[in-house]
Amino acid sequence: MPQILITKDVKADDVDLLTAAFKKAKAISVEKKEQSNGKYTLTATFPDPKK
Amino acid sequence: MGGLIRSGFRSVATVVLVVAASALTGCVFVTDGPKRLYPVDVEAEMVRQAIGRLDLSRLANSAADRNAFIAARMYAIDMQYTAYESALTRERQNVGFGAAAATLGLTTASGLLAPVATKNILTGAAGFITGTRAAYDNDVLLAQSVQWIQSQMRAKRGEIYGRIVSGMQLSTSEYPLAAALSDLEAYYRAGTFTGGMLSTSEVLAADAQAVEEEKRESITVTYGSTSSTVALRACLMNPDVKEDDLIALTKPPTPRAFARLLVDASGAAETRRNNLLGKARQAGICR
Repeated sequence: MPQILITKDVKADDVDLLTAAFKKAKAISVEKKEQSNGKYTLTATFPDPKK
Repeated sequence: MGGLIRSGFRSVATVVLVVAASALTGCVFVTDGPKRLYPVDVEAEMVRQAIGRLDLSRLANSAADRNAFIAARMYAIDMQYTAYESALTRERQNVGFGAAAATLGLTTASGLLAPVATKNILTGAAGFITGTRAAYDNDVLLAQSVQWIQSQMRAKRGEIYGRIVSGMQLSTSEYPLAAALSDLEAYYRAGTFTGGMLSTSEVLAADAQAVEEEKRESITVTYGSTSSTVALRACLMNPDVKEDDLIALTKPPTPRAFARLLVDASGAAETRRNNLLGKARQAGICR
């Protein structure tokens, strides 16, 4: 089962930096969603460590 | 017959003496390293004199003078730490290695020597040493704890070393002398046994919590940017750094557990992140 990491309150300036970092850390996918306060929530999916 | 028995006892005595000597002296063939150009005390005195020649009134306003002061103090702390760590390692080796070598030596010798009496004596002696070792069990446990604490001391020192070196790049208003002195004190304290024990218990508790949380399918964290998140991300994004090396140092060693340390603003994550950075610097992965 894939593992999910949800990161709240990411500043707009840091979204791309963190997305690139998550991808280098083996994230299968990274999705961003804007919060009502102008910050973002990043949802990164990582592979199942048991496989 | 009497001569044979005396000869047998002489052989036994020789083996027992040699093994006992190994047990008592521990790792006699492992030394601390090559001889120093100056003994630590002499060099520490030289550093003390060099610091005395610095114009202390300039330290607060001149980054170059401040850095010379910091570097001299760090070098002095490093020298003393090396001697302290070597002494700790020697103590650790003397307990575990001595007991193990004695048991191994005696039981091996009893197998090689045929006469029943000799074998019985040797096995009896081995039993004595094994019994002694049973009494050492707590010491061996302590020795293993010491090894772990030593590695935590190194990791914590590595973490604070990184903080100080980063501070040295800044101006005296951004990294004032007072902050540098505070970091130097933290650097010294990280190399003490008490500092190592505190660091060990903090990291163990934080790791245990993380391992438990890692069982969940989904983890939610609040983002925070600190000097350690920036340093870990910079290390990861260095093209020469392999992500697998950093993931392997993380507990548990999974991509998500590592990725969490890139963003998590909690205090437990900060402890684990700093520990990871310390280990990565020690391993030469991160700067």
